[in-house]
Amino acid sequence: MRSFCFGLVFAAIAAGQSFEQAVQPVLAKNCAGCHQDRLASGGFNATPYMKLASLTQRDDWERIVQRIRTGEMPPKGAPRPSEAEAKALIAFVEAEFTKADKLVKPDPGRVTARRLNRAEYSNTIRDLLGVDFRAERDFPSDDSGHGFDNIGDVLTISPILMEKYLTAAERIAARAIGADPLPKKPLEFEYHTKDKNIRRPNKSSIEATHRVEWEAEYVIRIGLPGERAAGAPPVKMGLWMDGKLLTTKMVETKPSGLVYFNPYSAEELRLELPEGDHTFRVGFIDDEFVKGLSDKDAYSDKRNKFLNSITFVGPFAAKGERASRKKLLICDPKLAGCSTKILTALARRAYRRPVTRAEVAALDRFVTLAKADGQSAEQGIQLAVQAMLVSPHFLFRIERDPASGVVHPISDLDLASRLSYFLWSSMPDEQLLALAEAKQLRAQLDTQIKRMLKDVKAVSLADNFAGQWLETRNLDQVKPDPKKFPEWSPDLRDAMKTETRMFFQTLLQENRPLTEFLDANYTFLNDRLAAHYGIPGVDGPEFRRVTFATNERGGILSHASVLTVSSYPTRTSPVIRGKYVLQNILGTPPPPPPPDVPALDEEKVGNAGSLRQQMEAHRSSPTCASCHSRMDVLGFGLENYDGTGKWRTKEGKFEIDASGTMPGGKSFQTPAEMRTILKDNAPEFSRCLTEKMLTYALGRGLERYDRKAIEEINQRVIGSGYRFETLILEIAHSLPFLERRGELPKQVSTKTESASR
Amino acid sequence: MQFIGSKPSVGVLYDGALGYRIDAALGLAVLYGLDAKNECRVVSLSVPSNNLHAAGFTEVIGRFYAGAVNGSFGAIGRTLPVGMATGKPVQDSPMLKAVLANPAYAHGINHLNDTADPRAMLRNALTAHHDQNAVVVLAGPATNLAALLDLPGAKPWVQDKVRLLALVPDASDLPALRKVLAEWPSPILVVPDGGVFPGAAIEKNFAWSQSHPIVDAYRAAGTMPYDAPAAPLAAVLAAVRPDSGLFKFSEPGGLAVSPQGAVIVSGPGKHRLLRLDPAQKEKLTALYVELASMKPVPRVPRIRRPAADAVKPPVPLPPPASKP
Amino acid sequence: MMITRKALNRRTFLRGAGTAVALPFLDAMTPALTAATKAPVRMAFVYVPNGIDMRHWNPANEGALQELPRILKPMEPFKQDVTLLSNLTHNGGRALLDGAGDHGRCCGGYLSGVQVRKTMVDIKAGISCDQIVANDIGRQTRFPSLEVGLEDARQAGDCDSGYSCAYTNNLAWRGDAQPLPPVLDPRALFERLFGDGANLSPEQKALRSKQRRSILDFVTGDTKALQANLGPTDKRKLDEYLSSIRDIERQLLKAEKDNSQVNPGMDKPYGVPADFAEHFKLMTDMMTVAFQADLTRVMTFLVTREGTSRAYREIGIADGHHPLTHHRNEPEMMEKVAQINTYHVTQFAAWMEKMKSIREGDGNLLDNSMIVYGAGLSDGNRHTHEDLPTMMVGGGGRSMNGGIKGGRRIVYRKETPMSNLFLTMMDRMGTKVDHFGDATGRIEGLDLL
Repeated sequence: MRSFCFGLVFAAIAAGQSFEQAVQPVLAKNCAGCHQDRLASGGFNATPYMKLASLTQRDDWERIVQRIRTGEMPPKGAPRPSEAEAKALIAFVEAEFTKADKLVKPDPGRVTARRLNRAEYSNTIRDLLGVDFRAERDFPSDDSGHGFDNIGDVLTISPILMEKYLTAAERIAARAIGADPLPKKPLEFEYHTKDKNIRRPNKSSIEATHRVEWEAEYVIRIGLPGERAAGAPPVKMGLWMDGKLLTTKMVETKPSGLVYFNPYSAEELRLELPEGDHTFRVGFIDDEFVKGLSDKDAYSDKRNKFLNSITFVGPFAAKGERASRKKLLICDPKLAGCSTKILTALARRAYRRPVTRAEVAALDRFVTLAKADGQSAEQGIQLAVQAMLVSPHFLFRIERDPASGVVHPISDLDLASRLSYFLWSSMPDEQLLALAEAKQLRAQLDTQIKRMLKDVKAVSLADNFAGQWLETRNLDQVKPDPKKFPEWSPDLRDAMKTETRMFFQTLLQENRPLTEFLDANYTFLNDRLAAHYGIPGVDGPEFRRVTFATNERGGILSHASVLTVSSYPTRTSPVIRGKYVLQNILGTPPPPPPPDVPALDEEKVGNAGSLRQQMEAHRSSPTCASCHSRMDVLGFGLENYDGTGKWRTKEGKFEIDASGTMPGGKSFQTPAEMRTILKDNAPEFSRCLTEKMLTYALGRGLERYDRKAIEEINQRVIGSGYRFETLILEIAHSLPFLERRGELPKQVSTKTESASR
Repeated sequence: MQFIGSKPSVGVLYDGALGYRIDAALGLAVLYGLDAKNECRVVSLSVPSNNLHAAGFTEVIGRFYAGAVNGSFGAIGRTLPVGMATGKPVQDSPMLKAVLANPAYAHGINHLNDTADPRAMLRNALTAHHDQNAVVVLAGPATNLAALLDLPGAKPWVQDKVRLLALVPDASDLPALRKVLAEWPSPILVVPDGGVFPGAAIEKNFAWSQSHPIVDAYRAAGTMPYDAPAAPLAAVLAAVRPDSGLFKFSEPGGLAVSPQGAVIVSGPGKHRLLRLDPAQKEKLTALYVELASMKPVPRVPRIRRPAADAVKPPVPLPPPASKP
Repeated sequence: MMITRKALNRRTFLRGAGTAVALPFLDAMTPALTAATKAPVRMAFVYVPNGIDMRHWNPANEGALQELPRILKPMEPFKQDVTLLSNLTHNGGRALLDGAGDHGRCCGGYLSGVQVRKTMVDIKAGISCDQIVANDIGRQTRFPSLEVGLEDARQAGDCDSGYSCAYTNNLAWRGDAQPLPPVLDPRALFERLFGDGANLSPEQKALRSKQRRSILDFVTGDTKALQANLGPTDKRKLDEYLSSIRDIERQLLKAEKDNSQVNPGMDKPYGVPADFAEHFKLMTDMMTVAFQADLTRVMTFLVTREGTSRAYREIGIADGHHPLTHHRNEPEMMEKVAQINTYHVTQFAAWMEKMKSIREGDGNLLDNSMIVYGAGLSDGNRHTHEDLPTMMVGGGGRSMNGGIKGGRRIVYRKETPMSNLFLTMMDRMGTKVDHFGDATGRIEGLDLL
């Protein structure tokens, strides 16, 4: 929000000046005209703030400083303070803030017990048991707070979620260990077009949803009636499960030479399938032959070879042991004492801490229970695993406090979890856990962090942190109008996601300066996205690094992902984009709009002007202009990118005018120039990123007492040349991350007055 | 944008026997006069008499001063509904007949459901206030206020938000009055006497408007020229300008009602009685006249709505003050 | 051996000792609900966001419904079952002291009559009326209540001006800080209501249930031990966990006693349909069966979220819903809003038709239900919270003690709290509470048979 350096430099000027010299006259001359007792524009009356004592109203004064600094206030047409006067005021006030901050007792805050969110659950299951479980598909969405879905206070548990946990635990345990016996004879399930339980997404594919009861091997038989003309080439047939390609096979389509009334052939694939409901699609890849056929001919077995059925035969016991099972069953469960060994090892990792003998004994009882019901010891272990997966020790990350109200460093074990869920969105690995148990983690903090960042699991930071910070997760939900944006497709969407993910990861892995987010001369493209951007010479669906030839694009504000999620389905919105930049890049979100937005104008501007022209009216009223002069300008600067991020120079019949003047006076003509101006705000950007990442790392919103930590982290980041790794290391070394305040037995609500009861 | 340091001016909830006591109407006029000076905001209007015409009369006065647009209660550009008690129906008074017969005055109250339940009205008005930033002025039977106290969950709102109840004793509903005096959580200022409002002013000071509902009501309420009692006016002034120095106050104490309906201060408590200061009599009367006859200052709505929606005020209004 | 298998067969088929019963359910076998005893009253709340074009919702007159306004036209065949309620207000939705955020407030407090706390994290709403009823009578059905929705939650960014997304993602609230997320996926709803299709023998099912319960016992004990050393906030978090577990234990016990599985007479859906009308129909078909088979008596249906930017290409509207409702009185945009509103009511009417077609006792399922269709805002452009568009459909147990006389518009006094309606509905469900939300009493006029 504000630059510390700024304050320092000009504190020198302000030194020696008092409130009555530096602050009061400015307020009286430039503010009181519209903001006094009788007329309190925007609900603000400046009179109480002309006293030194008012500086205790920190929030209000911060807002005042903010407005003056950006030049939003006084609005155009009102008497402005000179640059020196404004700076002196800001410097004085900020010096007072610093003084006040020094007196604040360091308070690391506390995080409420956090349950694992969907991403964390999936990753933890993957790392704990080696099972691929997609919680995002099954569990209800996690509510988010402060822009992130890992905030302890906001993550709640409802009965329906609990049901899901129970069912998921059963499935996951069964998949991990596979102790349940398979049926003695294989079963067949057929999906055939004549039974109408199969769909035809297009002429060359069929799709069915099938429930796989047991994780095992299955024979998948695909029915292919018909034959194509003699000489027709073989075609590649693919099998996808839930959108992922499992395998392919070449299929002959020419007449087989045998006589049939109805030509028919079948292909068989043998695959291991995971348990659960899955959507299976079988189709021909790059099937040129069918393109020329009419609908009738496509399904005529004299003219074409096509697909009409999928049959699942199984389950067959898989050859070889499952990897997950091998990892878990470190000894033979039938032998005495083995289950205890297995459960001790597993519980330690599942609960992310050493377990007591009593805890293991309680889990062992499940083995006894299962055996009493006629099941095997393995099934008993499976049951115990189920229990672990719904235990609060697994589902929640709870940090203990030795005594109430006391500030204390968190234990090494708690630190291990914080680190791993911060950087990997998953459980601590063996190295972290071992170090934590030996109380060596703090000493090796930096080494471990660097190791973790190099690990492939660090992609979670890109997926979960960046996906929410940059709001690119919303790409799955936006629906650009197909008429206005015909190029929009799932492929393009995925390419957009990948570009931003790779960019973020590169900055992270290569420890680049954070300013490259604001402007960089490279990005990552595949052919689809490059075509969208109008960049030639990029072939093939793989992503590769591309250096820009022009400065049309650079940095995340020119990523199609960002530009799409900040637009409406049918057009761009400079206001939304402006708000996006203010909120996610500069860390100065605008206040919410007033309840009754007045009609823009009595006469409709309509098609008589471009969007920009219509929005100039925002600036005609001083009340509206106070926020919109900042917001719209940033959005206008991005108008060269349409609602899906494509470059354009015209909007319908109007020329795009991407020029603007920031409230502080700097002006730009093109997006590139705007980016350069934004780079001048690098300290604000890094502070914004610090705040967001700290929120994500802690799992709680930031409070007044976190300011000092944020300032210190930001200073060090700036001092290091804005290096990404510095940010992460500094966060991990910060007070709120390493320590914690215990809660008093009766927590008093901090809200002073409220209209809610 | 809510700045914590600055609270809006005090909100006044006015409940009075409008249509049956001319002083209640005068009190409301004075209240709007203070509203025009930004010293307070009119946030709730209610009548304790079950007569649609009384509610209509109240709305006529409301629209006269604030247009069809009243800027309080959290929603800009919305006419405040009028709360009306539903007890034994009462007949029209000459005042009501005279005012409502005049086609210059418009109101929208034709059915019971054009009015609000006064308990809901008062409670909802209170929820929109900062603590201790609301006052209640009662200029009639205490029926509505007593009902409010019985509404579950309403007393805490009264306790938190109301800083003063300025009450003109009215004997027409003694049980309600007793209940209010006994159970009301905030300090009460009892105003048995407020001096007089000079009838001569009706002829002189209100002439700037061709038709003025207060004038019509005044003329119908008695034989001109007469001076009306002014207790509600004093109540309003004392509530909005507690430090005006125009009045004297008794020592705090408890309140009790005599069988004749007079309110006496006795015993320990936090309530007071208002007494007139003879030295301030002229100043007070002049103030009454000035405030009651003030021209309305319309709150320009932020929305300029299509012409069909707007309700034209009955008189040509002076142009709004120019902004700096 | 070849089993030709569809997802769930129309023919009745046996699953263990319990019978999968084909519909109609009530008229057939269950002794608890023969014609001699009364069918239970059902209650459902259907919520549409961003207000409704009131010009085309409010009829010109009070009293008997004559010419239905445009948005309500699809309800013409059920006019006699429709009671339109005017002037109901949610004071808690207004700004009062909290500034902007009408969308967060109006949805968060819709069913609880409170003003929700303005916060992104330490959310506080209030228990919703459907949950009060569910807590009271929920034990009598397999599911105490059902929460259904059509639109997925917003994945990133904030929701409304400082209000947590929890307020706009959920309609039902189990407690001050525990929202009940709606089920969005028709397949998930199907599995929840009618079983997940796993082929288990009755012994296997019993074993599974027993094992589940022992797991729940185990974790309950663990949690209580854990809570002993925690601060109050953490303890409260784990209380949510414990109460959810208790709910499931109750369900398991019930399911063990009553072993039957309902056959809804439809195939298991593949997933979420792209078409709005199809999605709506799938969910409401299952909800109808849930009511009919008495799987639950309390439901909430969050059609789409407050502030949603969903476009309705199904009816040719490419602009987002929320931006359209801030039309600033531009006729073209207002027209589109009216079309969207009508589209919603059309889908709702199809559901009501289904409900009405199911015979129950002397009447039909709709006679024994109270379905409230409403919005949390009236004018979406100006964010007004009074005269909320509210339509009650159904007889509320017409076959029993009186019932709701429909075919009317009742205009209540201004500022009448919506909570008064909910209090009255809770009465009809047999749940007597003294006070609810910001109610000033019960509302009158609903029973005039």
